[in-house]
Amino acid sequence: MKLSVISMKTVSKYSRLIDLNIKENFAYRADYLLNLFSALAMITVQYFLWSAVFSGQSQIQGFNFSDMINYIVVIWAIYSFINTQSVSYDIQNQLLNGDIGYDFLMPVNLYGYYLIRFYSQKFLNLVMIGVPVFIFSVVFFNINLISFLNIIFFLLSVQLSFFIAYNISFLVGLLSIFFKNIEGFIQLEKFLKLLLSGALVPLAFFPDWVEKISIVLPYRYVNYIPSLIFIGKINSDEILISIFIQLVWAVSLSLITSLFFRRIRNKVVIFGG
Amino acid sequence: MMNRYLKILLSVSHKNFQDFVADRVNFFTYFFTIVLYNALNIIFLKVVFSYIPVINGWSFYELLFIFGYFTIVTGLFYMLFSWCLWFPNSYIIRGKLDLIRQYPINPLFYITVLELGNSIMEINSVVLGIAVLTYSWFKLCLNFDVFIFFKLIISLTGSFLLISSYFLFFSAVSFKIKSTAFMGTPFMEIVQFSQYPVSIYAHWLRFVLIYIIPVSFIAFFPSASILRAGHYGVFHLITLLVGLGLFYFSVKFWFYNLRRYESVGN
Repeated sequence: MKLSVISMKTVSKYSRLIDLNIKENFAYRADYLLNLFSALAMITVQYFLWSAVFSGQSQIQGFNFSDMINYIVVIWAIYSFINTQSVSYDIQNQLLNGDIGYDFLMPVNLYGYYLIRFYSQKFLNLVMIGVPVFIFSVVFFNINLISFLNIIFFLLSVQLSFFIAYNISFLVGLLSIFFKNIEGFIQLEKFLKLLLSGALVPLAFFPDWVEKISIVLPYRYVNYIPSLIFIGKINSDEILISIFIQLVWAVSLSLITSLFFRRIRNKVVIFGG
Repeated sequence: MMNRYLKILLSVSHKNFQDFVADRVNFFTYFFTIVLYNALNIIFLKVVFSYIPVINGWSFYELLFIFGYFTIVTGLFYMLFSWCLWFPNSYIIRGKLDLIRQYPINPLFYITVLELGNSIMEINSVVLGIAVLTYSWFKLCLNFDVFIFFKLIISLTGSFLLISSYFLFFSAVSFKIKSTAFMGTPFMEIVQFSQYPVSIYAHWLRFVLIYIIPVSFIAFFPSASILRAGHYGVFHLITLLVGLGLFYFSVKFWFYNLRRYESVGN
């Protein structure tokens, strides 16, 4: 009885947090709209570039033109969700400004608090940018929804992707304890994410050695795998194996980050504290 | 008159230079960042061209040339006018502009010089763009003489004025709108249209990119006037004309809106 009361309280506390965060982010409606236009412009450039590329070549590494367009649309829709650079910047600012002192005073699990805060922010991003980009492309670029059956696997996979991307960005943000200015690390992380998650071109297009590197790094499982599941490029056995590997990455990175964060809590020194 | 502007320019630049020297780590970080971003673009081109020899008749080194040109132009733009991007937030909403309007200086000049301290790092982008341009120049075995050098300077001036005019225009719009959002944000992506030959786009889009919002003149047409002088011979002059015209219009529009601007405060 008591336990259920506590858990209800916890749930309402966190659901209140989600509500608050969504309201806070919704204040920047105009920015979302402008970012949506940017994303549409970028997709349009990519569409015409690839149509020129595929006019001389019917298939590249098993991708034909319509596969390629589906891939690009899906990968950029997911990118709006897993683009977690703001996490690194936010953690850095919190640590360097000393605002994290206020956060420590709150009666919540701070790791969970940040997770919810950024999850709601990125989820709103997905709804406001990712989904409209997808709808726009369905209407204008005739992308086909043939592999929509994989939608359950896809939704599961995208959630795990978020956890992987979020924890990596969080760890990079925590580096500011040691280095203060972590701009270089943040940019390097973004570079690796764009290159090795397949956001630039499908990983299959790269030379073999790049693909081999991508298999041992988490970035492949951040964006490439969910996109392939969505466009139906991998079969169900591979889907299950990939989701299992995603789960392993997500759990191990979450553990590392939360332990590291707990250790750092004792190290933070804030002026006036 | 000119003397006073020169004095202001020198004193503000001196302060900016001191800020710049104080943080050398930042300089290397920015250089590193710019190298990474350019590397992404070059890797993309390299991967695409490993499967096909030409895109609509344009080879890898020709597209690399256009990319290098584009990097120089955007680098120059970011160096001098990137303040347009945060102009609505820091100058209008936070009211920095109200203070600047009290000074007996041309506000556009003053903001540009003042912000140069933040964006001087973009010189890295210009240097890297020149390196890419030179590399592809040698690979394409283009000849080089005084005539072509002037052609390049004319094109770069035109393209730089053109890209700046868009962002100046949108920063002028924010005098009216008074929101933190910068209306020109999508233009950061729209200018990318000019990185590729205009012939890859659909007819309606080509019409838009040439006549309605002449984005193609930012990199593609001026580069083509050097790469394929026979076919695109006079496009460097057209670029300069379009750039000058739109820049003149944008500056006029900026001051027109400034005169009618009532502060956000009371």
